[in-house]
Amino acid sequence: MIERETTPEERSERRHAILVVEDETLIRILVADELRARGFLVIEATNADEALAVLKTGTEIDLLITDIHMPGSMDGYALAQHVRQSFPLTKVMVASSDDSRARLADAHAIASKPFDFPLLFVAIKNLLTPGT
Amino acid sequence: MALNEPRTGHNETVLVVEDEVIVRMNISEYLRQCGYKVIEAAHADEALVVLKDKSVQVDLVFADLQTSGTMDGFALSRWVRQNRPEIDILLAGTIDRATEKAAEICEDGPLPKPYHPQLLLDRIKRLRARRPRG
Repeated sequence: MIERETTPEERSERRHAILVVEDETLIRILVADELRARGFLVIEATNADEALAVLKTGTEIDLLITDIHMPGSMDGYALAQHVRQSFPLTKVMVASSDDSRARLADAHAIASKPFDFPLLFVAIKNLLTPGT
Repeated sequence: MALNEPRTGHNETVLVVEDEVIVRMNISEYLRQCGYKVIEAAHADEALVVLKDKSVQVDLVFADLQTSGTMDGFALSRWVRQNRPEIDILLAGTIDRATEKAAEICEDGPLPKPYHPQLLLDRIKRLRARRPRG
């Protein structure tokens, strides 16, 4: 987890950090496990408040993957919008079992639930490839 | 609390139960770097979801004493002793103690300690200090 400001070149060289925001415990564990197995640094948050607590420490997050329906002060829509405005270097992907609802979010990409991991990894690769 | 047996870390899974995300993510990542598989739970209720699913392997529960949710660390510990007696339990009440305990677990892990536990403690304290107040 890198805390200082880095250049885009440095960001592309280090291990990508993904913040997974999901209140369903077993789903979050599964997604985090799959992403770690792919070599990503994964930080887990159970709601938007935890996600923002992590982001506000200055920990650089390359990608936020958030569920839409979550308890707490913000749902996934509000979190996605906030992160896009306040942390413009962080890519945002929202996940939902209803694609039409996910498309309403202010996000770079959407992921369908239940997760199809091969498709998810392709989407992540596309998002994290420099220049996209 | 002494662990029952020396831990080898090989394929061992630690369930970290800690409601403060900054502490949880740093302790968990430290233990992963020592070679453990780590499952994270934000409170006892999440831990119970994991522990009640016997398809999920857990060898050690590493819990904060004062987790939020419907039970604290002591109650969780009692639940584990009654329902999953094969699982070891380690309780820590402060960040300093949690860091110390993590370092002890790490000593028995398959990989060398990634960095001195004091650095882990310093890092957690530094990140917590950056959180906006109120």
